[in-house]
Amino acid sequence: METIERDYSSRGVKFYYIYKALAHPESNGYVQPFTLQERLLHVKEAQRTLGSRFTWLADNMENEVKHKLGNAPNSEFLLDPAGKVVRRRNWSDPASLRKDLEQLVGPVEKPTQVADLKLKIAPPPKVAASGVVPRIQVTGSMRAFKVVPQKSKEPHYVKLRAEVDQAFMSTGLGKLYLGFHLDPLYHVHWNNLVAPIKFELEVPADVTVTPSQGSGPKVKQPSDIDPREFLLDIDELKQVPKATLKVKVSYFACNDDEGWCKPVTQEYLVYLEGDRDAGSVRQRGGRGGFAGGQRPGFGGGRPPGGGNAGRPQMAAGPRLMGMIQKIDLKQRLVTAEDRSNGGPRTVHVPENVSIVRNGQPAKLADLKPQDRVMLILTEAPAKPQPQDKEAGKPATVRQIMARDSGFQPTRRRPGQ
Amino acid sequence: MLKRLVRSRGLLSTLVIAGFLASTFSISSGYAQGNRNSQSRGRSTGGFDQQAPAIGQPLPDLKLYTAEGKEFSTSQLKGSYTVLVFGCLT
Repeated sequence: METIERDYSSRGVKFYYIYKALAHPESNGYVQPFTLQERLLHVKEAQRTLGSRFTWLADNMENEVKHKLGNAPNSEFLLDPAGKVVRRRNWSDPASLRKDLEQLVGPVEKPTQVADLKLKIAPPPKVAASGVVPRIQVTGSMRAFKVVPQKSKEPHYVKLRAEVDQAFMSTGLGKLYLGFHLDPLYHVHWNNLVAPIKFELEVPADVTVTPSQGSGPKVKQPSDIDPREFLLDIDELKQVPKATLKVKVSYFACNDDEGWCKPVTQEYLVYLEGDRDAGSVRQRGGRGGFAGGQRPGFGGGRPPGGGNAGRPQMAAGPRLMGMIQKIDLKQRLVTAEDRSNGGPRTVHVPENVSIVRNGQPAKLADLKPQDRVMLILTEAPAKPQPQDKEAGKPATVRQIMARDSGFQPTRRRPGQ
Repeated sequence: MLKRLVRSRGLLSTLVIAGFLASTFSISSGYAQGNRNSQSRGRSTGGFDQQAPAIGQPLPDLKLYTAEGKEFSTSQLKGSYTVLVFGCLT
């Protein structure tokens, strides 16, 4: 593209890059900007790293230009002098664009080659160690929810990303990912010599998140820039439009260039609806195994307090999520298809186990085949238990949360 | 030895970064071709034709910002042939 700009800008053709919401946040550490000023910092960073001669324009923070011009990550338009579209592509193709301009403006005698450009490409900023704190493991694809930062005296040095798994999208019962990512454009790093990052959640009625608070791991290195991530259990009994989670986070950020370290407390609203402009994360932590996501320093295990009085509280322990295939009332065994590996697992249900079905206390006899279920175990089983095998003790259940397939209303739309 | 290491590391990081960034901005046809097989491309193809202005139509009047933060309108894109390319850092 730069070679085409070199050849045709002198012939009056104007070239613009339209900077839009990130297609793949977290790649190279870059995260979605929250404000126009931050998006313009992205533009400066793109100018610095690419060395392009294009004129840069930034989409507004409602992402209107992206929405109205096709919603594609790398589309291309050629306008005539009257401002009308004469060519358009959902994916920019420099070779085809050059042919278009040869046709419309005229050929170039000696086209510029890439080697002629001598572009200066600069790497992204790196202010401290990375690869120190392991990334969280997630199973399957995740959907980003809309995150709205609340007013703060300080910039959001840390950016929250919230995602849920497909199980939640289809049943209301699943995993909630909260990732607190340092924004590299602020040149800050974590201060590991003080208390680690802490978060607290306030949830609406009919929603349970476990745990509702937590803190990051203790890290030996005095500083690093790795994200602090948490994988929580979320249960939404009833879908309420515009339902939000309130997230309060406290952390210590340092900027060595400017010579400061300071405690920061900020809040976010997480809307329980998809965000079509959030982009998709590539290869965050790979595919995790059974009950993946429990990290050292994870503040988990405690049930949520306060706002969930009267609602069933989720116990701590490894989870098995899937669909009930068979119930043996006499032996008190439940066999469910394990969503994480597709195979059946049989678990033992002691007499005094808490069972909730469709939001109401229930007995084992109330569970039905085809019920979607979260089985909270006392410990992770060593390997999958074949349905018919008698040898080997099945894992023991501590709590069961279930709902029948017909209980779910139409799930929330994931957003476009 | 140190100079050679620095030089070779610099060249390697330049190539890696150029290839990665070019997949979004298409700064050269060679780099761009190698990085296009992404899921997001597949998802965007379906919506693009319906939402984007058709050939022969003007762009809708939309507000953008220059790199300096000044307001800019798509209606200003007249008077010459104009190339618009969407992109982002990642």
